Amino acid sequence: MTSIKSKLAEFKASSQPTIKELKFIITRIKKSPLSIVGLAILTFYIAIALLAPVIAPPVPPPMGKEDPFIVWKDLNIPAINRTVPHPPDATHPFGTTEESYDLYYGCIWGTITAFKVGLMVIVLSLIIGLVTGAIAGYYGGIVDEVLMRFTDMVIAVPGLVLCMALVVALPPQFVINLGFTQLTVGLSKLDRVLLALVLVGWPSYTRVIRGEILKVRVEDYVEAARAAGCSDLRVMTKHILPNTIYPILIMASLDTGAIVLTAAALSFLGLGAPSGYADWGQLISLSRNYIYANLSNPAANWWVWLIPGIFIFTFVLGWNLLGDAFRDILDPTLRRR
Amino acid sequence: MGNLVEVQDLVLRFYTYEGVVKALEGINLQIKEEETLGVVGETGCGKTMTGLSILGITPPPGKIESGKVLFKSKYGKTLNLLAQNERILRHIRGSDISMIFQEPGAALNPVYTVENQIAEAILHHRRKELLEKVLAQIEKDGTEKKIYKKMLENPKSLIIKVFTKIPIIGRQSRLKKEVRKEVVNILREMEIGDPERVANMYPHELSGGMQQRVVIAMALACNPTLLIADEPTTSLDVTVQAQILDLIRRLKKTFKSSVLYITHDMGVIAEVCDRVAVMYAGHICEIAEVKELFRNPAHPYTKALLESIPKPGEEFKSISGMVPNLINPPLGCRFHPRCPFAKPICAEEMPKLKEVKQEQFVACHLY
Amino acid sequence: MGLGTYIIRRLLLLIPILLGVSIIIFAITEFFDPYARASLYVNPTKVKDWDAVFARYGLLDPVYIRYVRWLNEVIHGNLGYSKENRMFVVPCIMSKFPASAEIALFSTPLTILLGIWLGVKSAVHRDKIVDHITRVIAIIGWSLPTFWSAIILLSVFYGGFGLFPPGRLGNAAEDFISRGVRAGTYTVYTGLNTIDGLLNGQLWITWDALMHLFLPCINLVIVQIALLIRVMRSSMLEELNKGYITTAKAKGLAQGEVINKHARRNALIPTITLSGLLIAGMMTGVVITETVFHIDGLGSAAANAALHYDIPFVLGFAMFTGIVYVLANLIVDVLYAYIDPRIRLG
Repeated sequence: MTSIKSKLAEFKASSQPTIKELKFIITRIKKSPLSIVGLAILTFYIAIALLAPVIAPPVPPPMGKEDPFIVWKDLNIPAINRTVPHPPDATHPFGTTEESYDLYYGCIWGTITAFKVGLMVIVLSLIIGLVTGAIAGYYGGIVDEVLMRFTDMVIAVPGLVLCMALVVALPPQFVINLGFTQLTVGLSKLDRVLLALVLVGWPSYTRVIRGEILKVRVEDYVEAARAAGCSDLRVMTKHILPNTIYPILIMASLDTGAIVLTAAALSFLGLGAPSGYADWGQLISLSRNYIYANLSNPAANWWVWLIPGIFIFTFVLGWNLLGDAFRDILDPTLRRR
Repeated sequence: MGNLVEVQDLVLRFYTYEGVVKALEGINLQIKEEETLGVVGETGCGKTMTGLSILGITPPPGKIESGKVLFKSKYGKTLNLLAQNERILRHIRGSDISMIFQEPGAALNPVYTVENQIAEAILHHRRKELLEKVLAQIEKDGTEKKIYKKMLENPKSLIIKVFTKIPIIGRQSRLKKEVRKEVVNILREMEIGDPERVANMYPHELSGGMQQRVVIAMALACNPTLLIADEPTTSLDVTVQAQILDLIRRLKKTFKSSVLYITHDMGVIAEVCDRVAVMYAGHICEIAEVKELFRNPAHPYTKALLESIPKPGEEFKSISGMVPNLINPPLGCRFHPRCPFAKPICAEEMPKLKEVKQEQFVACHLY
Repeated sequence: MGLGTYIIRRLLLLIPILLGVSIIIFAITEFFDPYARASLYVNPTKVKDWDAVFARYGLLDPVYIRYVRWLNEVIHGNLGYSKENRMFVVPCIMSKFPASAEIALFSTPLTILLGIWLGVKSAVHRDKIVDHITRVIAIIGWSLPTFWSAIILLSVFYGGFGLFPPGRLGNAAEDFISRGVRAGTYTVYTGLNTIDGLLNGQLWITWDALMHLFLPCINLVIVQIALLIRVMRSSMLEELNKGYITTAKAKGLAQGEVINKHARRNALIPTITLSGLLIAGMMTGVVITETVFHIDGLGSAAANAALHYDIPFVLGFAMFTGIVYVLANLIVDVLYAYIDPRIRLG
């Protein structure tokens, strides 16, 4: 009995500093209204993404398609009127775009697309960046030099431009020859955008991670761990990486916003998701003609570009606020004020 | 010799997230003219804050709650520094009172040369004097003389401000030459071998000892009557430390200034100071002449400090207990939890400084 | 090492970096078949003898030979033929460059100066109203999609008030210039309408060009300034905590002097290294801004080319921006070494 009690007391005592830290973090979050706003926005969007099938149920063919991500067209509107966007009304809460795509459905399911694009690109870039950055930072020497020159080359061409070039270049399918069989990997337009974003994005992570590892590598506790006989992998995972996590977290959350913006820009230019796909940038791209047709009164078709735009803006804002909040909380100079 | 500085009941508090830190609780000090007063104590006892408070540059969230700092300025007037506005304090800082800090590398701006930084101090305070010198040199009554005259009479005029920004004509080369002469002079006083070369260098190109000499040069460039030295040799190695201490001793005689020497090293106190104040946890325990303090320490804390200096052949003695948390300091005398002579009254009432012997003040209920 | 030696070293380093950019671009061309790649060298609509073309440019040879031949062409100024624009890529880029340059020329200094000023103000008045407002503006700007803010600006100012029309020049100015060029009365010196207008003594053209430039520049500034403010603010905050600031105060300097003369110069150091990123952002922003505002510059041409799979132009544009970015970074590095003596001497 007493041993359990004493063990509990021990655990309580040893976790006191962690609890204190958590309390401090929560106080700081409460103090900063912007971070609460960021969290609220993201929770809101997560809710929408999860509830999408409920609040915007997929419409069966012939108006919709098999793939719920293709926005349904309102074929009830007579063909003559179909090319013109219609303002919001009972059947179309956000109105329709050119070709009568339902904007409401597009925006709701677009949330899922946004999360998909943002998170997948970040996770993949992080993984590649972590591995290459860790190798470069930890081992140094020639490996480091070569990797750094390579990242330099990729970073030398500005992001969106390189993405454009890659999206144009990547083929619609990959044929991988495995000797006994051939794997054909189909790349939809959206897949190509994802791949392009990852290919353009990983070098930045590599550099940041390498920088952090270089900083941590010379700390005394790493020497001590090595002197105690830890293997390289153990030193890396148990000592170095946990101390480099925070700047990476901050970078990842801020980058998610940037990724979504770049993807939206590509879609807007017509290089991203295919026409009719539930993607915010794509929906605005559909409306391009109607912005210019009514240049003297662009407010005429305001719903076409304003509503998806608000979605993009607030989504990215949420991530940026979150990233900023992380940074403020983890910034040692701001502590204890 | 009268009092140059008299600190009366100085109270300094820091308002932080974790509570109110009572950093200085009623400090009473006097610094006489042409004397070196040492302030000794452990880290965190408030020595640096005392120095910063005299100059009025305590960092936020610190606030000086009450007290007076009476200072006899160069013009003979005695001012309460805590009651002055920023403009007057800025005249005094660097000119009447200077302060040097612990890390000379950090105290110097890495992107400006040594000359630039010392010149800044000189131009800020001694501009009139140098302009007059320049005017005396110009014989012809031309535009040059007119411009310098204008600078002397009305330094803030728009014409002068615009003129000095023009690339080649606004060079003020005569003034710059005079300033450079002064800079090289003061560097030479610091016993720097090649002052011309050092003046052109950047701080990171100099060794620690050199950097500290530059910092001291910057501080003494305007002949202050008080130099506050906050652990100037702590970050230097021992041989350099000895040189700098020597330098300070000699400079004191040359410049006829007082020095408030802040340190935690009793050895340095013995070398350099005339009188010494012992501080603990934000209040002063004892003030005495150095020789008397070492011979007959009165306050238990002083005694413990002296005993803890390692002596070869003897056992290592340390003071039991820990330095108190200044957010919730012990009531009464702040040393009483660790004091071997503690009495019940020590936990209730904060002792005041009393003159026990000629020139020896102690704040302890034993007396 | 003086500043001069540092510059020479950086210039020498330029060559491998530029080679690296060319390798990346070349790697992308590898995705295409030889016929498509032929348009990187010649006008495919005019090709009679494909075998001769293949032989001449080694299109069927192994990778390294192809790379060398391609690099050779690039160095001689041949980046291929653009089917969308119906001319060769290099002259096409040259002709469209002034329009984009004009936008960048006005946006960049504005972004930098405003960003630095706001960043300093924000740091000095930390946690006060100025700070909060600046940070909110910054974060909103950073979250805005460039094309969306462009559309909003266009709708509000042009749609709503009729000010700041899209395009580069109004019809009157366009006519005047084309007639003037034909008649020989108007010389196009730089291709930038603001400057040309001045040099030709036709100030109303300069004014017209500025009116058309206003919204695109504001658009770019809004999006880019956030980063600058943030970095300037955080590096100022760091500098204000340093020892030399206390020394400066102890010397008796006024708050303004301490901030501007001492803290700001040191805080500018990490901010300057960011200016390179600013140029990159400028180039991506220009693609979208030109598209929305109907400005016939490099950006909109590249967007159009990508849409129509005009590979040589897209790659040519990528190459061009890569080179500009590398050069911009070189200038930034030199500036960095000028301001921080520790870099060139340490």
